[in-house]
Order: sequence, then structure tokens, then C-alpha cells
Amino acid sequence: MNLPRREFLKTSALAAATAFVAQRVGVSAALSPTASESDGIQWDKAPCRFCGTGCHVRVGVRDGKVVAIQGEQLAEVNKGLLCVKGYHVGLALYGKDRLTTPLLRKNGKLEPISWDEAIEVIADRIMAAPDKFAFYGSGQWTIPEGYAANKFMKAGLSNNHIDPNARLCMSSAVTGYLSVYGVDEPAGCYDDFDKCDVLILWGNNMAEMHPVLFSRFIDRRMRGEKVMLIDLTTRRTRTSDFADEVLLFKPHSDLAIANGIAHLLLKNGTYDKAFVEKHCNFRKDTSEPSLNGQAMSFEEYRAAMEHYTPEEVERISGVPAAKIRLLGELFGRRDLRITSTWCMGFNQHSRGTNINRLCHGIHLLSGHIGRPGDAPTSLTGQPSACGTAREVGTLCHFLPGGRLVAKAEDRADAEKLWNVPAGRINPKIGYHTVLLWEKFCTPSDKGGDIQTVWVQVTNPGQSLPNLHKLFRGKKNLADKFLIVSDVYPTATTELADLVLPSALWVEKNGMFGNSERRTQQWFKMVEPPGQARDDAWQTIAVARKLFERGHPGMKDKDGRFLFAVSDPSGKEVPVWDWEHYYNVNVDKILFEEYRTFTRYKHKDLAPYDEYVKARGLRWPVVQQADGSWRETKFRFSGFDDPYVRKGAEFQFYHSVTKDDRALIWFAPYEKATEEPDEEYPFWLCTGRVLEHWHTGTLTMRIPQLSGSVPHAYVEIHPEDAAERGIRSGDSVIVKTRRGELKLPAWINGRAKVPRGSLFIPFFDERLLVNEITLGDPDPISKEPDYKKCAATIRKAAPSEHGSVSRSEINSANG
Amino acid sequence: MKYAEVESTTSEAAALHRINRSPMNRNYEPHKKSSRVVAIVVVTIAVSGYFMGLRQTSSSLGPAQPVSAITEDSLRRAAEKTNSIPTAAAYRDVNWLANGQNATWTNHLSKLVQPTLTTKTENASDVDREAALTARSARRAYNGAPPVVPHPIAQDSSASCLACHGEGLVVKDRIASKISHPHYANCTQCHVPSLGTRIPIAEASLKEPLTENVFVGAKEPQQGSRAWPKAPPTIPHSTAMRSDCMSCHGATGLYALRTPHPERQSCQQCHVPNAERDQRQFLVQKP
Repeated sequence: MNLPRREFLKTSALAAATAFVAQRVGVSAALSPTASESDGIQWDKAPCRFCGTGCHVRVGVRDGKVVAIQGEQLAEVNKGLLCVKGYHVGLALYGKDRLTTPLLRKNGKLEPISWDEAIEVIADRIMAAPDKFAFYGSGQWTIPEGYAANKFMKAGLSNNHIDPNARLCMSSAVTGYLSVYGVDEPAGCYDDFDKCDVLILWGNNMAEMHPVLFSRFIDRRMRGEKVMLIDLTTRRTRTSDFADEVLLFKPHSDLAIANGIAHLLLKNGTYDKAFVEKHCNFRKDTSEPSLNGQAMSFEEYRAAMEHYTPEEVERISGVPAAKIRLLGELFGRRDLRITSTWCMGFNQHSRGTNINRLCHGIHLLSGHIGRPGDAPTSLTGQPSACGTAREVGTLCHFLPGGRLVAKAEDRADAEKLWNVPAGRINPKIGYHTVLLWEKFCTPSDKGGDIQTVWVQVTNPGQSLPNLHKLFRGKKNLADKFLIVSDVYPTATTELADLVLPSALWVEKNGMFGNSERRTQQWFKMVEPPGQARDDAWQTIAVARKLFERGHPGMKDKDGRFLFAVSDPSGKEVPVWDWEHYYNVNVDKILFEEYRTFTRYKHKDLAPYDEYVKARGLRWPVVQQADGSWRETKFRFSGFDDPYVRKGAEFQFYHSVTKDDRALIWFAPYEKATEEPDEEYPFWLCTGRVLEHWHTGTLTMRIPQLSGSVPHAYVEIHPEDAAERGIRSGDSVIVKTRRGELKLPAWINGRAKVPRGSLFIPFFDERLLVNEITLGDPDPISKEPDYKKCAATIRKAAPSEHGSVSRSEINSANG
Repeated sequence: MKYAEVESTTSEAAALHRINRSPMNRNYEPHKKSSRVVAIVVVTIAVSGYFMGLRQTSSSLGPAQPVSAITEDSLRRAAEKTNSIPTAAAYRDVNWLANGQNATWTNHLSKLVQPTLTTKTENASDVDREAALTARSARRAYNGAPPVVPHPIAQDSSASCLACHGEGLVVKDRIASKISHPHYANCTQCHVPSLGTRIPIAEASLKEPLTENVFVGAKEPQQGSRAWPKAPPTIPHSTAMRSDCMSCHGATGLYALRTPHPERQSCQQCHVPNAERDQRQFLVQKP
């Protein structure tokens, strides 16, 4: 080498610095097989941070910052297209008020403390009462984060009080799948949108909530294909604009519409006799609603459906009988492929499990299932509601891999895999979300036996229903302690006693699982700001602190730390020390451990390195004779699913009735818990808009998104508004039995509600609609109904007190 | 006749209203005087206009109307001659769209005279180009981001976007660019209005963002590279979502970005994309 000495020094210093950065950023950029470079920008793949669609983006990084985003051309989900949130997802990292240091409330004020102190504080709270501690997580937890928290609680603390916010958005879909097929998650996948002739949206504003999937279907028209879109809805939306049929129904009457379709299939003899005889059993609830109910005969089922004539369904739902007949005819045709999708309209429903069952039921009865394009498919709202909440099982009754806390056999298997003594896992189901917060907000001497809650990656202070009761009640209870790991100040951090700054999205390694069983992986690309750190690290650091303090649960059978990690040479790596966290890929280690759980219920996941190369793989991912890994698109279908018995066309191999048959359920139409009356004459519905994602913590900080929809509003029908002297932009008071909310009205805006209906989006933390929602839970899934309660509306007097601003709340707390 | 009456009274009222509201009115005397003069003139014109209106109704309609439009014309003239009260044809009975003075006028954007294909921009300077790129980046979070919409939109429909953006439209100095990815149907999925919902709310604070964002996006690319001074430049940007070069470089593109040879149809015959920054990069797998 003939470099001058100075040059040589400079070069080697640079090389050392580069190597250091590469190491700090984990195994990332340097080793990722999907990375590329152009114009000085380093690009690599990651799933989008927002909804459950699971689009892949390419993240452009320069000088340690995200500077651009592209749609990933190679991703099957989105084929290069994104929505406006996805294109601006990189900006989510750069809101000016990022949390960058741990904060502890001292004399009412949040004050900076060190990470060491913060970990000590948490350890103190847990050591004082390990059984009164609860973990409240999220469908935005990465798979390894959720797995670490689940193991920490169930194998470490023998405490099942862990539940995710996903309880609030998809648990009715879960109970639907479990009670129909005996195993969770859709049989079909997004390929159905490419193949179906008819797409039926059940209370699902897909153009705004899952825009990329909506385009995947609707853009087929631009290629000259003939497809039919049926929009079953309670208000006209952007989706309706594209629909061939817009069928407006009265809230809660979807139960009657599904039964009306079954009635016609039976009456016209157009149901799929051969399929039903071979692959289905019939089922109904016992007097107490339960997951598995009781058997019923086909004749009983037919008799129960007798009542739901098109005319009767019209009376209940308001959908003309002729249109019910149209739906019946479509389902009766074998030459069409029909896909149904739904999201919160079905799930946030006080009969959520039942409406999920009924929708699966009409697809089974008509044989519109299991062929490409024939599928009943639920969509999820969070990027890893499926991957983390449902598959890792971060719910109070689940163990990883779809297994159950209540089953001795499942517990024994988990204890074996976790290498903990028999009996370590508590057989008693923990508190589900609503109960968990109720117990936390109830004084300890009145049975409120949850004293400390640790919240990660979610914002219950805004997203829980009936907030006065389920969240704000904490405010006056001195012995309750709220820990919140988040990236920005939120409605939840307002009441927090300890706030921990977290790394976000590509500031850490991660894995998500989307709505179509697709598991996705990404590498850390940039450093988190200040002292922000990974949520999984936070959990492991607390576990280590408890281990050091002698908590017996933090040791496995051999006395080793529960989260012990070794490097390739077998030497233990102190990953609880942040300085060493990225010395190894903790994500990979946790994932490989978790993967062993996924074989029990045919949810097989491939090794971590397969996901590094792929843009996601759909489980079950099964190894082939040549060593390659093959994903499964259509579950239970002989032509694609390797677990179906050879030669069988269909096999529902996790059947509740143990005979490879799916269950067709009968469930009656029932009235909603709270319906409009003289005092409260309006239906009040809540939901999302395209630009904002959930509680707006991220999207409200992205100028392009908040600039488009800067604040919440209430939609009201023009005639209802005229009767009350309300014009667009006027401040109105929306009142329910739980409180009132002042906000602007929007008439004939983006969506149009029918007479007697109101709609308010829930993204705006200054206008918290969940202070007035009812949230009556489904009896089986325990998921609250945010979509229906009775309300009244009037024009606000100029003097009336407006919304409460963040600074007011802070000063009140301070 | 009713029409004329309404018009005159409203213009009167409007004139008075304007005068009363003028802030200078209260503290500037000479102006006050001149305002009064203006008011008197306006009132006089309005009142006389009213009576003029009464006089001309039937006669002024006549010459421009095809005969078929006013079938009862002769009857009415006959009535006038006998000094009876004149009767005008009811407005609702006259088919104005088919027979009125504007019968040949059609309200369709595609009928607007558009710049021809040969509109050239040969001498775009670096300053012009810089201005065009600045205008582009003002509506984008980073190079490659979908631009926000600088005008109000129909919130409930994508179809209306394509009325102007389907083929592109130029109205004086306002340009609606042509869609560069016409195979996508749901416009508002990616393009959102920058000035919000335009709900006229009283609480201005609700429109303020929660906080600033300190994201700094990648910049618009500069010119492509040339092998020698007169060689065709390469494409300096990714071609994903840009399947129609003419949407930016054609007649509805920004001035300095337009092609100097719009008569040539096959752009990529001479101008080639760069595989590194183009979507083909995604296919590159490291060994």
C-alpha cells in the first residue's frame, strides 16, 4: 500500500467508524440481501408501520435519517403501490416532540430520570405485588416484542394479566374463526381479490381503511375486467362511489341480512348440498353464549332460518327485499366467485362473534369457500394484530401458537419449550382488556386488584371506550401506577407515572404479521433519537433486574436467566445492557425460539433467514424435499395446503367436532344494547378516515396528513341539521348517556350519513369521542361495540365550553 | 319583469351596504361626501334601469331569437298595439339552452382550446428549471412522494379528479397536470388536499398541527447525465408511477420541464432510465 501516512490514517479511521455504525445498526445494511443504493441513498425493505394490509415499502436512508419512501415493486401485497399514509410513513419518526428520555412523575410533574432509575422503579412495583401487575400491549408490537412480553408474564411472573389493544379490534374475528374452523385466521388470502367476480363489503369502508387492497380489486376494472362491488353499509362513503350496489342498512341489522341470504339459499334449494353434506355440521348457542355452543340438525337450522324472509329482513334492516333476493341469487350461483370482507363493522359489534359466524356460514352453505376468489376474509387494522396478538398469543387466555392457558396439555408443552418447571404457567385466565382497565380504575379496597399497568405501543387513554370509567378513573387513585412506553406524548402519557421513550419502526429490528397470514421482517436502519430504546429491550432489562433481585420466575429450570442469549461462540451476551443489545440479533433469537410453538396448530413459520430474503411469507410455511420453504395461500384446500389429506378436496383439519368439518352456525337477529329513543334519537357511529391511523399519534404529526384532515368532526344528514339550525362548521354538542362532546359539524362532506345517524372519527386527541361511546362488549370475544349507541345533537351556544386542549390538561395535572 | 325589479333593488342595497361598511367612511369627511355622490349616482342608475327594463323586455328579446323560440310573439305584439298590458313569455316556457343566445356554447372542459402539441420551450434557463423544480417540491414531502392537492376537492369521489387531470388541462396560467399513472382508479388514496377539509370552523386552534415535523426529504433530481454536450440526457429520476412522460414533459407540464421536441413520441428511444435508481434496483440480489 502506497498511501501517504495521513491518508492512511484518515481511511482507516473512516473504515472503523463505518464498521462501528454498521454494528450499532445491528446486522442491518451491510448484510441485508434486499438493500440497494442510488444517489447516495441507502434503500431497504420494510413493511409499512400502519395498517394490517402489510404493504412493503422501500425506505431511503441518507446520513442516518430517513429521507424518502417508495412502494416495493417486488411485494406481492401492494405491487409497488401505497396509500398516502404509506408514502409518508417515514415522517412519523420526525415529529418535533419525540420522547427522548425516561420521565418519572414527581409532585405531579414528569421529570427526566435515567434508564437505570426507570428500570429500578418498575422492578420495585413488580416485586411489591407481582400478581397485581398487568401488561397492556398491542397489535403494533413486533412479533419478538410481543413474544418477550408474553414469556415475561406467563413463564416469568406466572401472571396472565396480559392483553393487547387488539382485543378492541379483532377478537370477534378470532372467536368467529375458532368457533367455525377450530383454528384462527382466514383460509383465503389477498389473491382472492384478484380472482373474485363479486366482492361484498360488510360494513367496511375499504377505499379509506384498506386502500391498497381496495385498489388491488377496483383497478381490475381499469384493465377491462368485469367485477361487481356490493357495499353493505350504514353510511355512503368513498367506497360507495365505486360500488355497483350500495345497500344501506340500519345499524346491527347485518345479522338479519346474513340470515336472509341463508333463508333464500335454503328456500330456493341453491345451497351447495354436496359441500354441506361432506364438509359441514350445524351449530347454535346454548342459553349462555359460548365459543363452541351445541350441535343442531340441518332440519332445525332450516326451521330457524324460516323466519328470515326477504320481507322480514327488509322490515328489520331497511334494505329492499329485492336487494336481499339479489344477494341470495348471487350466493346461489356456482359460476361466480364471491369474496366477503369485513373489519370493525363486524368486530366492534355487541354480537360480533355471531355476525362473524353468520358470514362464514353463508359462504360454507353456498360452497363459496376454498377456491381462489371464494372466501370470507376478515381484514385487520394493525400491522401485527395477526402476527403478534393472535399468533404469539399475547392475550390473557392464549399461549404462543394459538394454544390455551386453560388447557393442561398446552401449558405443559409451553413449560417444556420455555424450559421452566411444571406448574409455572398459571392455569387461570387473566383479565381481558376491558376488565383489566376496570380493575385498574377501581380503588384497591373495592376489588380493584390491578395496581400497576405497563402499556407498550398503544394509546388506551384515547382508544378505550367509555374513557371516564375505563381510563380517567385512575387519576384520583394514589396507589395505582401507570407505566407507558411510547414515542410521543399521548392521551395516555398524560396520566402516566413513568414514561419510557421507545424506538419506532426502522429504528429497531422487527417482524410483523399481516391479515393474510404473511410474516414480514425488517432490519434497523437508523438510530432512535436521544435515549429512546427498543420495547423488547425494555422488557428484557426489567426481567434481568427482577432476576438480579432474586425473583424465582426469572430463572428457568436450570437456574439460567429466562432471556439468556449467547453469541455464536457460546458466550453469554448481556443483552439487558443497552450497550450490548445489538451485539447479537435478539429478534432472530426470540423468533427462532417462538417458531417452535407454531407447529402445534399448523401455523408453521420458516427460519428467520427466509424472511430476511422474502417480502413476507404466508404460513403454514413448509419445508420441501429440496430444502426450500413453501408458503400456503389457500388453507384447508387440497390443491394448495400441504396439511390436507392427500386426495381430499377440502379438509378442515382443526375441526371443533373432530371430523374435519366446519360449523355452520345459527344466530338470531337481536337488537343493539342501546338503540335510539325519544331522548337520544340518533345512532352514533365512530371510525377512521384515510389520512389518520387509529389515535393519530403518528399521523397527526405528519403535515401532509394532518393538513388534509386537521381535526375531528361529526357527520350529520342535511335535513337533521336543518331542523336544528346547524350548518357545516357550526359547533355542535353531541350528547350520550355517558357525557357530551363539542365539535364542528360537517354536512355532505366526505361521507353521507342517513337521517337519524351521526358519525365521528376517533383520531383527534383534542376531541375524544370515546368519552361518550358505550363499548358494550360481545359476550364471547369481550370486544367492545364502538359503532352503536344512542345520542342527541344540538347547536352549541357561543359561550359553551369547548374541547379540552393538551396544555390545559397538562397544567391541570401539573 | 320581476327579474329586473329584483336586480335593481339588490344592486341598490348592495351599494348602500358597501358605503356603510367602508371603514374610511367614519373618519374621512371628503371621502364621505364623495361616497354620497356615488350612492346617489348608483341609485339613480338603478331606478332608471328599472324603468328601462320595463320598456325593453319584449323588443330586445326579439332579434336574437330564432322565430321558433317565441311562438306567441305575434300575438303579444298584437296585444301591445291595442294598448293592452304587455305580457312576456314565462321564463320557464322558453327553452334557453336550446334556443337562447348561448345555444352554441357548451360547458365542457375538453372543448377548451388547449396548447398544441408543438408548443415548444427551447430556451428554458437554469433559473427557469430551478423555479420549476422548486414548484414541484413545494407540494411533495420528498422526491417521489405523491403531491398534495393545492385546491379543494370533491371529498366523496375520485371520478371528478379525472375531469381535469385525465387528459390534463390548461386554463390561462392554471395547469392541471395529466395523470402519469392512468391505470390506478382511486385518486384520493394517495393525493390529499393540502388545505384540509375546508369546514368553516370557528375554533382556529383545531386547524393547528399538534407539533412541527423536522423530516427533511430527498430533493428533486437535477438534470440527467450527457455523454457529450449534445447527447440525449439520461432520465434523472425513477420511472415508477411515471408511465406517461408527457404528463410532466408535455404541454401540461411546468414550463421549464417541457420537451423541446414534443413531436417525437417515443421518449425512451433516446432517454434511458438508470437501473440503479429505477425500480429494477429491487431485483438486484447481493451474492
